[in-house]
Amino acid sequence: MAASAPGLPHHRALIPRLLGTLAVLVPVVLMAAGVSLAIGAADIPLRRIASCVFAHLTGGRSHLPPETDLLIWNVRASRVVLGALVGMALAVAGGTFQGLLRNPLADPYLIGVSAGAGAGAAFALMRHLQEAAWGLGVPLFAFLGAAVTMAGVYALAQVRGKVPMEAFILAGVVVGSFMWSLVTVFMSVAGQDLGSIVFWLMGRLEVGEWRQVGVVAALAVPSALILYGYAHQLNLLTLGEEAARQSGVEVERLKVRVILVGSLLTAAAVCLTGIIGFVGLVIPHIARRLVGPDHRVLLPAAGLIGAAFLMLADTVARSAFSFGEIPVGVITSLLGAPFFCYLLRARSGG
Amino acid sequence: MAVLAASRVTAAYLDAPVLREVSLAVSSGELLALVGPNGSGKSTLVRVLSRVLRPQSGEVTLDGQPLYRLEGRAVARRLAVVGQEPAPGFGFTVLELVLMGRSPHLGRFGLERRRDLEIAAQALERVGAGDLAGRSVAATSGGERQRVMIARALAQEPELLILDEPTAHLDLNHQLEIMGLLCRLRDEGLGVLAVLHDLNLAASYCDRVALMHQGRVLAEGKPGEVITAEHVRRTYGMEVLVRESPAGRPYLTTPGPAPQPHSGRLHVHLICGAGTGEGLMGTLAGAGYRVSAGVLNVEDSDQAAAEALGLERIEEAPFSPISDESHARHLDLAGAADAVVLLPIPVGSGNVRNLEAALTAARAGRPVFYFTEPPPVERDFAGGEATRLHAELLAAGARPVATSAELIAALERMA
Repeated sequence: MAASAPGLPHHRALIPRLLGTLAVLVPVVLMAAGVSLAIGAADIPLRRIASCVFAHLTGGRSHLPPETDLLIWNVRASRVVLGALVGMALAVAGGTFQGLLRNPLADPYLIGVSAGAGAGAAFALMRHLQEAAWGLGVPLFAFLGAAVTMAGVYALAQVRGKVPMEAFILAGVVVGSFMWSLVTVFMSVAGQDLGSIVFWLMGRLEVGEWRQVGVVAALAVPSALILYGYAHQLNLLTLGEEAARQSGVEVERLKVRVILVGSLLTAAAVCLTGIIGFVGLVIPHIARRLVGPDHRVLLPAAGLIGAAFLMLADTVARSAFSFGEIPVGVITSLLGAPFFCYLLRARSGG
Repeated sequence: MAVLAASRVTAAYLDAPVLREVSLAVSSGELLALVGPNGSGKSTLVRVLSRVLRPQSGEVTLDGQPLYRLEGRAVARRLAVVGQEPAPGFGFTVLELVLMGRSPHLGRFGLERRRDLEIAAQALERVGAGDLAGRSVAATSGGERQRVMIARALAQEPELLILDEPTAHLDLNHQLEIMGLLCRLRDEGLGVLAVLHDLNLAASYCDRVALMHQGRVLAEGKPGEVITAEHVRRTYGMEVLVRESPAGRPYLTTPGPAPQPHSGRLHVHLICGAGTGEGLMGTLAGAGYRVSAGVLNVEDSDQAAAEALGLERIEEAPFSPISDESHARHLDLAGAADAVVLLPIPVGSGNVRNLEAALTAARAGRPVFYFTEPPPVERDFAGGEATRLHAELLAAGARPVATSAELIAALERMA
């Protein structure tokens, strides 16, 4: 036996890895939030922003002119928080689906949730339901559309109580295409509301209003935490479904729960802001490069990187162009697509 | 002492039955091989036994408890499986992969403690892969990866281990390494069930062998009882020679390439026995020669080879001297050949007539070749008679050859 046998091989335990990752990424998210708050059409010094945010967070008074206070807290801060939430939600959902499907090309939109949300939102916009449900008409219908799609995909993919993953992807593509054709139907009869539908579909964050942000948070944060609870089982699933089952994972139960909660998380991300592309596909890849494949570290890292990324992308979307704002979904796609190409090339090259 | 038992299990995919009333048990401290042709149901039986495919009827029990009513994690603490699925790429290190084997012992979040790390490291040492710990799984070779997957299974600290074709796609040396490892695990008290496609590996390493055919267990027992020419013919539909290895285990050889219809090539008659001719039979038949052989005792290995190849031959009862009748037929057969080859057979009083047949052919002007290695005098158990007959062969114009290659070259020149 080798002389070094009693010594343990070098191995970084989970807790130090997780804390190390958080120690790097949480400050990154906070800095991104600061930058995002500071940059905008109106120039506001950082000091003022800091005192305003501090005041609101601690329940005190800010000593700023009311209109400045309103701009910082109700317009910018709510939008920044929404961006962080949506970015987190998409990246965590994407990382989870990539693990579940054992396919690095999976993304949260693959399984038709976004198409369903789009159909619901388009319907609500066509029927002028913006003010329904206490002003939450569009997100409500988007969410319903996503839920209906999910139910349809699940019913289609299920075979004798099991959900084969190939069937699941195919069903997602089929139901998703159907939902996209519904979107086109609504668009073609929408008349002068066409613009608002197109705008919704492009994905943008300027809908932030604390009440709405609160709804998204109430859906997204618990969903993401529940998914995180499945992180270890997702690790085992990378061995293959059969091997995972033989290691004691109840695979069918895991699949059903992850699909449902992951879809809920995706629906939470898109229902208010529309379809923001590439975050759920690219960010988990970046996170995997940085922290490795262990979902217990990968998912938090992806969530934090996603949050920072979408806040910064939104800052670019609303301030980088002289002709005004462009939808943040355009920015993420413009950045995401080439970056994904780079990742693909880098992988095949080495 | 743990026992995993299937009794009268029937299983199907959709509606096509794959297992029919199969009963099989494996217990601690034994190495059981599951063999059978492709599609005979081996992998399906593994899935049924590993709580993946619930059988339609029949029962699977682990220590007497119904397997499919037990909780998955509880089963995984006693029973580990190394499947056929390749290990994941996805970038885990070898140690991380092996640590995953600890999961049935861990809490929901899979938080490993120092002890789990120790067990994983020990498992790697047990399979002789301790030095791979920090390596990425993607950077391991096929043989290394198989050992890593076994280490992962061992990290579950099971009492029983099931492996589905653990030697598939491995080089011979790695196959033997894996089989040696399984034997060691068996000696340490584990019950091991391995699906093997190589009957010789199964025969030489395993305590028991179960042979499957068309969804049933056709035979089960000691290797010598299960791996027989008759069973192989019935299940694989082919002729093989079953011998006994020095360790008393059966081992199979297959005849060479199927004899081609002899396309006007020479008729070569081999005078052989005791395994001297079997190699040449296959080679010559494969090269298109019409090959005959004689006089062979039934149950002699050359007789078995000639039978497997379907050669024309003169046979004699087991361990009996060559009778007048056999000798007469042998003279006819050898006399009709284009060439006669006398292989380096040991010669006793029972088969000295084989030399006389060669001499008769030589005196009749037939081309006769005889082997000089090992020297005839060393193979003479007929009181000098064999040595004398070899000398007469030379005098009658027979040509001495030392090796098969030399003989084949000479035959090629004749053609």
